[in-house]
Amino acid sequence: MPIERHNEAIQNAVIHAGRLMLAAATTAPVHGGVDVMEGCLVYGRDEIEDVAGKLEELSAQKKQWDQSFRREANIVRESQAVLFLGCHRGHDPFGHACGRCLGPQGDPEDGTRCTRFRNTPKLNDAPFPGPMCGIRVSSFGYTVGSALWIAQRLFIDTRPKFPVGLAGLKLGYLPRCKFIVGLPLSVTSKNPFDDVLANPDITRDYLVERLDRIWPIFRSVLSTLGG
Amino acid sequence: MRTIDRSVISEYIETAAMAVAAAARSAPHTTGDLELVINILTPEEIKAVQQAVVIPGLGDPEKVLVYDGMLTIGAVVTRSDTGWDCGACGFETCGDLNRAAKPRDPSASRPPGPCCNWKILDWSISLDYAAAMASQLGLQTRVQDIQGAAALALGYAGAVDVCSTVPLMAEKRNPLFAGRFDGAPQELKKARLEHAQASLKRLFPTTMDLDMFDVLVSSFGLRLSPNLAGMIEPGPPAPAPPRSKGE
Repeated sequence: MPIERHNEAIQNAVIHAGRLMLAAATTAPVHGGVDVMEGCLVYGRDEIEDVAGKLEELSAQKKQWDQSFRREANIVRESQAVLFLGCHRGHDPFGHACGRCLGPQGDPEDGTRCTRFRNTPKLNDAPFPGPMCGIRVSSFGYTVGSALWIAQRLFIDTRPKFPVGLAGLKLGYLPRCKFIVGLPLSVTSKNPFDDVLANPDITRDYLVERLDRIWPIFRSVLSTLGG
Repeated sequence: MRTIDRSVISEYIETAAMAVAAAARSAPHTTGDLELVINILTPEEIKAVQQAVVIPGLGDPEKVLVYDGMLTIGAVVTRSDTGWDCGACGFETCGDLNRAAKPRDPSASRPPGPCCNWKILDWSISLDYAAAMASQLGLQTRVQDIQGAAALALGYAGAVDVCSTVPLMAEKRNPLFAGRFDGAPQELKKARLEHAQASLKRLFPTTMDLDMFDVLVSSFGLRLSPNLAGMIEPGPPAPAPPRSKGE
């Protein structure tokens, strides 16, 4: 069809922007030229609702997650797509013995200098199974930065988000990755990432629903008065 | 008329460094409370940093490349105020991390750590924004960790745990990637080659990888460069081919 209406066009624009962001993230300079990043672009009403639903499900897990995760779910519902970027090399030490992961690394063993990192068991029950190699995470940060830079140049609203990344981890979009950041992409007239309401229960849908409730009363009262 | 040479470009880079710093400061972060310290170094400080990273015997401290501009971008990453308890640092809760983490001690050589990975991620996003802004302003740039560690040790980066530097140059040939410009004499070049070969041998203690590479190269009818071929230890001599009856 040669005509593309507004809503359809911005939906396609967000998807193309997400692809460009993923390409920019792939070409970002990283330590040693070793790729650390995998990405996944999620779009479509049902898929976005999956992510938002998972965020609401996770909000019950910890007390400090409750309000903030529900706020993130509202933000995700106002986004047209979510770009997940994950670090699949977090458990593979760079070998610099920089100590960012756990402090001093001790004497080298078997050719590896990151001895303490290798000998420390991973926290498999934690949301993100740490410890992660600090330099790999740093490389991953460069890739996330490049993706954000492209989004900013294209005037697509986005922010890097920990809760959205955790929802992506639980939904299994990036099975190799143990450290994931979620970037909800939004094209709306109001940036959903700013001026976020503290109470996650007040949403646009909630207000519309309340308005539907008072609208007949308003109408009948106004008509009685001859308005 | 004004001919554009390196001194004129240096003036531009002084202004551009501000834009780079602004981009690093205004980068979007996952945590909202990263303590970021950005310093713009003077030419004397840049020279001191460059002299500090010269490997003894492999470079002349008087002939280092002084970049036209350099920023140090450092951050405090050994403390987490997020309260997310995500476990990526290797501790169950942020409180455990804050108890175990030790910030950088300027008097000791002990590295800082453990660190909050989200703070490291935010610091890296800022570094990426700085490099991206420099690139958009037509400058050659890179993110340097070794120079960053030197700047941290020299006290140019402020009270931070980790630091990287972002050099700014505008040259015909990119000095940050293409090689050295110090006009090293022949003996120094030889010493550097030996150092590089020793490093490669440490990386590949067995010659298997190089042997495989040799086989691959020779299968295309090419010869391995003498530098690389000299590093391959000779294998056992090949058995003599069986003689035919006619001889």
